[in-house]
Amino acid sequence: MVHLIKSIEAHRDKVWSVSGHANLPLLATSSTDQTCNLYKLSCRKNFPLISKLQDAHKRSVRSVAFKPPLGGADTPDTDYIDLPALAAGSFDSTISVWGIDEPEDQFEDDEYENDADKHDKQVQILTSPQNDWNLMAIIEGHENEIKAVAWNYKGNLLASCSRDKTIWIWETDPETLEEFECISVLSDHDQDIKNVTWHPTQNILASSSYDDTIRLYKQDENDDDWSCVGVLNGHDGTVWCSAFEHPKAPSSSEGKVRLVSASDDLSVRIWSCKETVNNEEDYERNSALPSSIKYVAKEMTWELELVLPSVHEYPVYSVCWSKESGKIASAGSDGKIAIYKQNENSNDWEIESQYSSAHGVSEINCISWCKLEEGDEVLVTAGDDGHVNIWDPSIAKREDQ
Amino acid sequence: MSDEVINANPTIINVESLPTRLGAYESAQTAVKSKLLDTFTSLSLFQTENLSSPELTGESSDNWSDDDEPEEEIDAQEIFDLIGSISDPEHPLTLAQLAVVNFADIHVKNGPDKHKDLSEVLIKITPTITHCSLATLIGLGIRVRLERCLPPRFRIRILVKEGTHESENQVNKQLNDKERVAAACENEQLLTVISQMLGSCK
Repeated sequence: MVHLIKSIEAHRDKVWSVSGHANLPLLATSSTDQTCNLYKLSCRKNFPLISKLQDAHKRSVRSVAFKPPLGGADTPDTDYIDLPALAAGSFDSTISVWGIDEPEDQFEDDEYENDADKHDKQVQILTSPQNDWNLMAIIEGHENEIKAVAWNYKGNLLASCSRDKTIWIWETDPETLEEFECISVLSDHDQDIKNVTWHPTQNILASSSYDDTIRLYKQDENDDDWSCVGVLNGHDGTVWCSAFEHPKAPSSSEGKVRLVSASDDLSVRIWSCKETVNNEEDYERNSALPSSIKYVAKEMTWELELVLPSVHEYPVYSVCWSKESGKIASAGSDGKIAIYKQNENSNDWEIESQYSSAHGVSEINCISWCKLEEGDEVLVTAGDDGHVNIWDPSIAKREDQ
Repeated sequence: MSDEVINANPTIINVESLPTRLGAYESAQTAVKSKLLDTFTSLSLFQTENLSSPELTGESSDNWSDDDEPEEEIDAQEIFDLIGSISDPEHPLTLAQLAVVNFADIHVKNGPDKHKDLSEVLIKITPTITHCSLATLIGLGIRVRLERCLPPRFRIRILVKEGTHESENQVNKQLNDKERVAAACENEQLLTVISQMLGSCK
């Protein structure tokens, strides 16, 4: 049974979105109150507030996303000190990008006895409330409300989507974040786009929409243009959110890309792509070939794999897929948290646990798997009650709590 | 909004024939409309200050705490009283008078435990004409009114009554999309219009 570790009274209005940093114990939240908050995901320190990001937006901040570490979350580039940074998308049609200056406390190698000590010290410095979080950029381009922002796995591409029915892909230098150049505007959806999400190890983007579909995009391998390579039809209502399975998740099988989606039709669905998708290495190898024999990106063939067992009684607003456990969690208007688990010997999924009234009688807008400083994986939820709740998802209640 | 009146000759229901909690309303027969609405309000179990705040900039339903919540259940009459008094955006009449809001089309389902169970209100509105471009605005006005007045355990569903609007599905989808409603409520122009509509609410 899921149980509550901590309830943070984070905002004085709806909390729309939460995002955990890939390898630092940091949590960002965003709200109707036009601000974002940063917390340290540390149980022993009782989840302290680190910074408030304000005065950048004139309307609700709908979405917040931490930039992944340089080199990607799975293979962080250790040559650089990776300073945490995040993007926030607002109903005021702009995106703000925030980061910290390099801390004055420095990381002299000889000070530490071993790498682990050095790493610990770095984490403490980078997550310290002493750091000033500065507004680094305001990105303009969308006509109206931004509904979501998301970074690709390397942090050099930022995608944003809006009620204006477009997705913009912005390219930046992930180290300096100095300029954001729009490299593509995708207008394939017929309606409001609710969410965008990237594959955790490849440049595949998925978007969910008010037009009841999910679309997938890749970069053409001949030119650099982005194009829609798949449409997932099946939901009978707005698709609010989707999330890719990490190829290293225990639920994953090789050569299969899977996506989970949550909808206004109360269902949570898993989609899978039959075709093996080219990885970056293939791409580089192919680039050396003459264009006549180069592999050309063709449509990805996606199909509905299954509909997860029904739990929700009202729209499902958010869904997330754990890299660590391979479990899926969903939440929405009914205030319930559901955790689903794939059976070991079959492709069937079952409800591992569910928890009602997770934010009292309020709706839950966002759910996300995050990692505590202590190393435990937790679920974080954002509610209309202004609270951010942190949950221990383990079935057996831990003895020390 | 355009100056052109969309439905120039709507059917109007006499205020005295609208459903009310009053058993006998002889006294109300002679009363002016505003007086009757006052009576509605005084019968309401809500604190008046919660009801009489049509301005949209203030607090939302946050001022509801469990302590000052009425013990008695919220019923269809309560909802009718709350939204029937909203003004039509183009006529100097209320939604009840125009039969856009009808008592029979309001359904309330109260959850067993108000502290943790959800309750539900379903309202079907009847636009005065089938191509009424103001249906979405009317629905939004109703939603804003209820979100302000009802405790947060309520899930509000507003639909256009079957067969009364040519783009029924489109209007329904928009009115029940939480994010679109939240964004609309941050639009100054729209807020001004809605404040005017709610100005007649007591």
